Amino acid sequence: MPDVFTSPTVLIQPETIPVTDPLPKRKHQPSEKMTPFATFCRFPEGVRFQNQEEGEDVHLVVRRHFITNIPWILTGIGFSLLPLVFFLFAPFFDSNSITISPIAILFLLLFYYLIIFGYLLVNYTTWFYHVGIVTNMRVLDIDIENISTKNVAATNISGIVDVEYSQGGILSNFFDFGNVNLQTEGLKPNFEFIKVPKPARVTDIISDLIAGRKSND
Amino acid sequence: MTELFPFLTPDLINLITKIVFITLIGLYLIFVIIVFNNVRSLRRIVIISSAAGSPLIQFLVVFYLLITILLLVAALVLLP
Repeated sequence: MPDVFTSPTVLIQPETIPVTDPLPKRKHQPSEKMTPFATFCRFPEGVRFQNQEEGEDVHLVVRRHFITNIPWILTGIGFSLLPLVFFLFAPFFDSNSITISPIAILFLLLFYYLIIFGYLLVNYTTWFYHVGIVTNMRVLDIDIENISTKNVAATNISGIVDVEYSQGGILSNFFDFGNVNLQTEGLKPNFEFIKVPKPARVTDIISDLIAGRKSND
Repeated sequence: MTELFPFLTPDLINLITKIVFITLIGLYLIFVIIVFNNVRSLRRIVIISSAAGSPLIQFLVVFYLLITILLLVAALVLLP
């Protein structure tokens, strides 16, 4: 009996099968160099993290806006000028009442400046490592409250149900920084990037990744 | 001051200053060691390239620790 219809043979190449997990790698996006004071870095060069998976690309690294560091910088400068003020007014006090040796005063002064150096270093380190990382697979929130308290949380991009940002106050509007809130599904904790620059752009990037993930699924 | 507290001789004041100073810097050294360890653990969590300043922080923390130890040793030796 002659064939009425013969279906054409289609060969499926393995390369054409869409990969659902992870998201396709980014295409020819220019990488940004991350400087020691960078607060918003798209596709940063040389940034990796613990438990990073193969094929996982860092899309965004955000830190608190640099303007939020002004209080501790001014405090450090103020306290470093305090001994100068003291020595300026020292001749007005009765010198006979102070019997500490000059070498002891020198040591006290060195110790004082060491404490100020430590204060500045700890604050800078806390700010430096307090980052939010967005990759093509997940979002990481590394919170450093102080030098001895850290909280590292991560969630899959597909687990994020809503992204929103808030800006309040004159400073945050003037310098364009705000809080980005990531709402996760179920009982998982929500994520918040606090006082990050360009919150609208951060929200946009994460929303695009969620949309890409959903269309991929 | 010696008129109010006649037992406070200059030698005794120096000794008290030395003990107080060494105790303070000894306690501070514990804090610096905690900072040093925490920075090391943070560097393991997020690895940021040399251009971004991560090794600079490591260098500053090592410098901070060394200066504190040096100050403690110098206080033990040099303070009267």
